[in-house]
Amino acid sequence: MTAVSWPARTFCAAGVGLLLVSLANALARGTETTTTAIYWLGLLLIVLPIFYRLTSREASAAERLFQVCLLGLALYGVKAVRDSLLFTFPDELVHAYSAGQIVDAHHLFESNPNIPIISRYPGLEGATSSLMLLGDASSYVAGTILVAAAKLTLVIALFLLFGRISGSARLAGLAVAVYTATPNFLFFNAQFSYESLSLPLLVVVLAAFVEREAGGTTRTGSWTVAIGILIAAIVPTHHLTSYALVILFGALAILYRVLGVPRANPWPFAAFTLALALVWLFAAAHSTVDYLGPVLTDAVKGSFETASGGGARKLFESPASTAPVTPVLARLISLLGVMVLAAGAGFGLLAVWRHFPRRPFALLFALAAVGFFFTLLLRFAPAAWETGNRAGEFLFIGLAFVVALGALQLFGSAGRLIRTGLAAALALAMVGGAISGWPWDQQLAQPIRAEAHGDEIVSEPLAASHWVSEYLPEGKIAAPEADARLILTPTQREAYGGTNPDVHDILASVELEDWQLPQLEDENYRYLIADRRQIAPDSVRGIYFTVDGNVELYGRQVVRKWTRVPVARLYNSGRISLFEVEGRP
Amino acid sequence: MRGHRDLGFACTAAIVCTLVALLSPLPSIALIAAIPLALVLPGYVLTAAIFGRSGPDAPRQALLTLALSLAVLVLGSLLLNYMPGGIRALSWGILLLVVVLASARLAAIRRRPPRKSSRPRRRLSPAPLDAALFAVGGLAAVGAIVVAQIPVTASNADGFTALWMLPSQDGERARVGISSNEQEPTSYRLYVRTEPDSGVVKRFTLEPGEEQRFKFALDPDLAGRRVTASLYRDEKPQRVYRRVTSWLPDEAR
Repeated sequence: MTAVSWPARTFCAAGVGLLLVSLANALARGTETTTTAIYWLGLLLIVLPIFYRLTSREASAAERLFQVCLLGLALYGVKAVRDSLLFTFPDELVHAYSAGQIVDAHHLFESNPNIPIISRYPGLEGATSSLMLLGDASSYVAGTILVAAAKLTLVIALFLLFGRISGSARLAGLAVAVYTATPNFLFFNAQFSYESLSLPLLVVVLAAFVEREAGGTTRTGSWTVAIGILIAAIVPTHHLTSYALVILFGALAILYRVLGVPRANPWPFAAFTLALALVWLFAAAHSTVDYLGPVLTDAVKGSFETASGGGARKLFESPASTAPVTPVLARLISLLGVMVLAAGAGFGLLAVWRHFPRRPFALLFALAAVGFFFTLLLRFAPAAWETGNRAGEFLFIGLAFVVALGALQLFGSAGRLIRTGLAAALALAMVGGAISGWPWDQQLAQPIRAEAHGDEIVSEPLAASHWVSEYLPEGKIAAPEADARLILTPTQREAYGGTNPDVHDILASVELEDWQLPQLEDENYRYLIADRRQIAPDSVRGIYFTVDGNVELYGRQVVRKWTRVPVARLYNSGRISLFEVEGRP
Repeated sequence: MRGHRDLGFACTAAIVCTLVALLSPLPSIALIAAIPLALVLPGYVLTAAIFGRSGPDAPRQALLTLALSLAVLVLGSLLLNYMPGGIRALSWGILLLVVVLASARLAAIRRRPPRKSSRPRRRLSPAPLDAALFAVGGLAAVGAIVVAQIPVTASNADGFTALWMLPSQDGERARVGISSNEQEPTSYRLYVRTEPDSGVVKRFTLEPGEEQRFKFALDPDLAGRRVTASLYRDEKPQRVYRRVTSWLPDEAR
């Protein structure tokens, strides 16, 4: 009897695992059953067979490449089947608005009121516009396809990068498996957002650089041209990624110099990236300084405050007050995952010291691995956790290499049982990363569309968004964050819910202060949305159906204060009302 | 392009995909044509043009095909932004076609003489059991996508009804709509004040997901005054369920 090949086995398992994940999400949208166990079972069915096969000695390099591609696409599928047919992650809605702006206006750099910096880095949306226009597709369909391509690019690039540096396809495959434990891998970097495109391109640049180094003189120029094109594409796509690339090439240049590497120093790549980033900063995106400056300054200040005994942030707690607490078991799994990574990194660092003491990339990865654990400490500082989270996804590239190296040093020639344990440890780290990278209550889908008596009904914020799209005459809308983001796309209406101007406080306050109405008029808001749901400012959770009447409400005055002005109340769905500020008597 | 079968195929595919994407009346067909045109062909021929005679091996070719295609899309949108007409379907089609044809021409020049494949092509012929497992996995993945798109019953989700009113600019008419997102069919009574001291009543039942719209002529005496629409549910006929209001312009008087 012919043995079944491993690619067939893992492909089948991944498909069935994805189906389980999709069923778990569908049941979660049905609101009646707890489907968490089915979801995690499906996820394990995707990753465990692939991880196990990647630990084997027998698989060919081509098969390992197939396995990592399958891994990357199947895990992207987990995100894609969560809320099919419409974007639901807060940043996705803002990026989709920008993509729609480009298609409507036929030009880049149209304003984006919610996150203005997005319109200054239009690489993702510009690229998406090609599929939207040529394929007559929505931003959801085009964006999902584009990010899938980027995700596939990422895993291939990681595999080739790790393989070239280590000379081992086995280590490369394992390192890609470890990389899926990045807290942002499953959801954050799978969303329709600029980093989901720029990060894969950054890894391709690194992979192309090591190919250039390894390719001899005949191909140096070719790889250099490819690197140049890719850097030129990264710079208008994402600010942090271009700066991270400058730092990476800068660190490599220093290592080349210190180690006396007998090859051309990579400083010109750092200089080229820096020059392009600066040109872009001053020519198109000078608001980046105002956007990133306070974030980084607060992160530094917050870190010092926390280190000197100031209020520390509790782990597994979302900044949103409406977020439920993560269960103890999930916290435990996440912490165990970090411990697995730390143990692997410990052995890996020794292996780097022993086997690659004069290899700049290996040493850079070792530094990054150590740096990753420092970024975990930033998670304790309220003002710095996001900075630590973002830095971590770049540093994790190095950590993945080091952990895989450590694992192979320890268990490289181990038998089937040990390999099974290794695959289980990798799965633990991956699941732990997924838990720490995305709110526990948001791992599974929530009901935003539902079937009732054979027809489709939608959540209250989505219904308001549909109504605005279909009926409401032109005019800017002030709305709580969740309502505002849903209105952004596909309606392409300007809706804002932030604090600059302070729309958030105007809409949430019980009494109408003297300054509030004039401020709305000064900012040319024609309409406003009053939402009694206390979850409305939470753009992650505020877009779904409420279940079993389980919702905290603001007092009725939040709505009535507008009826007393009086202003016209054009739309009323119970908790959500839309008023027209202009044209009142 | 003679002798370079892959480049010739890429050029033909680019022309066909461009025409189909731009001319197809069916969005799904246009999208199927747009995907290779945007995400595969530019990167493939650009890689061939950049590397010329000594092209990379298959994995690196695959990587550069994807990555350079994405880069072309990013940089292409910047280029189109400053071209007359801006970013449109036609300009994208022309740009991608030019990138593919020009890169293929450059690749053909740099590759001379034509590459001849020295290795016999391997034909993929999976064993029956392998094929069955691939089929099961593929069907399951398709099933996952289908399941994700089907709205499911969420009987615990809180239903609601929305009432809206939009008067015309001249204040002579008003459109009023009621859309049900309730879990069950619901019966309503709508009262719209169309004259200073009286109004119109409508009774109707809506299925979940159904919308009912009415147009009302408004009495000119209402000019400059407030017009109100009130919705009642039959199950609680005395209690106003939803109310919307609007101010009519003075000019209609």
